[in-house]
Amino acid sequence: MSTFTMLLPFGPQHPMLHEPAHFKFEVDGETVVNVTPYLNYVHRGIEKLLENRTYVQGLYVAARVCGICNPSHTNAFVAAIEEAMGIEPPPRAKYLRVVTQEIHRIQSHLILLAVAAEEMGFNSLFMLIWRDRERILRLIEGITGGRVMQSYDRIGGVYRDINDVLAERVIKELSEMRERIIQYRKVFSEDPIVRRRTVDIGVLRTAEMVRLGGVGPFARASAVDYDVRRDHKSIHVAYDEVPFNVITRDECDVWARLIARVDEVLECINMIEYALKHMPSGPIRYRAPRAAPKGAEGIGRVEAPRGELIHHTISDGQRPYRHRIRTPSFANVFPAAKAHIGYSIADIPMIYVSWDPCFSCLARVTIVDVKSGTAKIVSGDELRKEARRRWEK
Amino acid sequence: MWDLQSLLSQIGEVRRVGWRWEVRVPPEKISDSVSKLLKAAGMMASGPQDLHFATIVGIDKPDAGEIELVYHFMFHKNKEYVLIRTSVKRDNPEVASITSVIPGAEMNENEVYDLLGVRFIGHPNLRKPFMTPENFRSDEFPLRKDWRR
Repeated sequence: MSTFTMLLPFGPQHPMLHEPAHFKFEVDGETVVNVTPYLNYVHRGIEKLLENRTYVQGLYVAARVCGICNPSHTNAFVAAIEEAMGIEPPPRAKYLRVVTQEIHRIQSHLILLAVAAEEMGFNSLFMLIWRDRERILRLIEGITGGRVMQSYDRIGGVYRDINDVLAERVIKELSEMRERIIQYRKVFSEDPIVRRRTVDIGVLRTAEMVRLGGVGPFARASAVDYDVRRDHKSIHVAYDEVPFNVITRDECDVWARLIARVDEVLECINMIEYALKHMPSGPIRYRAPRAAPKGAEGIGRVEAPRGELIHHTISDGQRPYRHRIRTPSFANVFPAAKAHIGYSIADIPMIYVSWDPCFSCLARVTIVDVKSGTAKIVSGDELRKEARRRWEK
Repeated sequence: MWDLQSLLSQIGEVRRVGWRWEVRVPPEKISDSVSKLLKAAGMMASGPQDLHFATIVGIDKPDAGEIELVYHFMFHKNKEYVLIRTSVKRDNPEVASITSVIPGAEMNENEVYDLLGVRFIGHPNLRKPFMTPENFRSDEFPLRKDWRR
């Protein structure tokens, strides 16, 4: 029996997308036996920065925590600050927040599905999903005024209103989108390429997932029945008035994580339609105070596209004394690392993509032989070819 | 009938703040309190564990000479949110690690160590730099109020 293990560094450079992270995979032959994540490549000190900004300035800093789910960050930020100030936004603003949150969840999930398709070598599906995401981005631009960065939520309400013409356009486009998502669902659930690469890969059972603290669709695909939208009765968003289903699956593998996201997109479309049709009238913003009482605390919990997002603020008058942000990816990185153990090197791309982090680091993986100290650089394409070769055997 | 308030009052000084519970415990009791929470969560759930550990928030309070740690928990069954608060001395910040009972706390404890300098005794792999850049000194903790660079 051989006890020879190799170290396989993964990252940290990815030129394309968010979050350069670095994973060191310890492999025995082709099987991953241990994974250590290194995360300090994009630490920007935002928590420290927020301590030196007023609440109004801080709103724009909070939006820049993440490029893909920035409405979740502004939403959690204003929820925390509003709680510390003891104010509640008007009903119409709560509905508008639901609309922007959900439409962003759609575009974020579409990114993941497209990238997952690309990683399994299904490039046409990648292009099709990416095209549909572009239509969603245009709708977002129509509603909020910004394509990617918005800072749409304000302390005490939202930034701008939606009119009937735009609401009708959103409903029309989303109903067309629903047809397409149903088609993609069929592809993801039936296509042999997809099923071979994802079914029974990266399995993490429910008990393990809870023990390691996973959140979001990643955890819900392991039958963890937890969704902040349903489980946290927030007075800052109207999730208690908009009906929706929480998607959980009990397959616990990569496939379940992808399908859970497809189903969530369909659920989001229903929610947006409901919210637009039942939107209460009235003001969209109350005048908020500039300061919160010293020592007042607020916790904003929001279901971001990747899972539970927490902003915990402690006020120092006009600015936070301490503002803590716990992002969903930070909660997921530990269980995700464990999900690799026991699976082969060729499965790394699919498991890695299934928890929705950054993935372009796959373009350059170095395999280092620990004993002889020689290194070999493998590209993402070679990894994909290796996976295909294994399946064709 | 499972009574959260009486359970929490066994752990420490409990109060209801808005939609959540807050319990204050002395730092040497932290790992014991978390075990009690876990046990309570195990009693009400069908599976082995039903307690979601969310995060640790470290707050530097130089005037009081202490660093406050706030542990966030949620019970999956009834979705009650519990904060466990404790304070450690600022000049020698040490507290027992909860990773033996909750493995998911590993990254969170490491982050608090890296940014505030609280040492978690019994943590399997406490490393620095974890979040901070590699050129930071080992005694530099940027989230402390007196940090300058």
